[in-house]
Amino acid sequence: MKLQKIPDGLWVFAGGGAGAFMRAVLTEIFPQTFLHLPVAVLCINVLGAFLLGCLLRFLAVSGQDAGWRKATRLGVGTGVMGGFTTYSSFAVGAVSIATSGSVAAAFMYVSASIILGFLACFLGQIIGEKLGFTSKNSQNGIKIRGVR
Amino acid sequence: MLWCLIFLAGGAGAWCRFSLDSALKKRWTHPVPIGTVTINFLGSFALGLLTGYALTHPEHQILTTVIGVGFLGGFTTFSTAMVEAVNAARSGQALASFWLALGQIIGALILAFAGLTLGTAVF
Repeated sequence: MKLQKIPDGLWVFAGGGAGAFMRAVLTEIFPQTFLHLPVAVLCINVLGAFLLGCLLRFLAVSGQDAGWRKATRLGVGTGVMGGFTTYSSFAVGAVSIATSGSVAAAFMYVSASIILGFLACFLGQIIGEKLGFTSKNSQNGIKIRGVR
Repeated sequence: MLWCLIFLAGGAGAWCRFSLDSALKKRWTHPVPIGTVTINFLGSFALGLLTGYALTHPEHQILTTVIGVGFLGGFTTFSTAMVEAVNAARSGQALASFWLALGQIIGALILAFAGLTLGTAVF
């Protein structure tokens, strides 16, 4: 079966299921909190932001968004990384920490997630671009303007 | 069994995110994306409600885990939110980046709190 014949939604569904499954397994294995912070969700979100930044920039600079690149973007990017990371557990988790009395811990959790997530994603993008430009398939080895 | 359901619910959540985001992208032509923020706001409010329900109905733990960890976890996304914030920053839209990173979590926290309060009161 050709890649193009597989509907976009199926890549997203399969990848999203796998990502959510991995997150569930990791939070089950590491339910511990460190300084009142749910470290598993924090690590999952920061790692996911890094990997998604890296993947999307690699795919964008290494060639056209078609064929295996599009399938990878949808399956691994939108699907696995999107399903692996979570915003709802992050927001509700922070509120739960705050309402249970540790407002300082909730503030730390939110700041750490956003600051580390942002930096990790930026770093991932830079690495992804480096990998994409040096890859054999690179069709546009020119400096890009903007990032879209 | 539970893991299988989490896989299916996570897949369904991701599919809903993809469909909703695609539909919004067709209507929203502004350079600052709105899809992920909308999804994360909806999902955070819904998980707040569900957590309120779970607190008073521990007998439905399997159902609430599948919906909360699976569906809503797969529906909402942190990684895309960060990618959009970094993209905005790198293309010189500092204010948009600020709102995508900070405004998004402030909104999600308010909605999660509202959901949790409402869920605990109603159920």
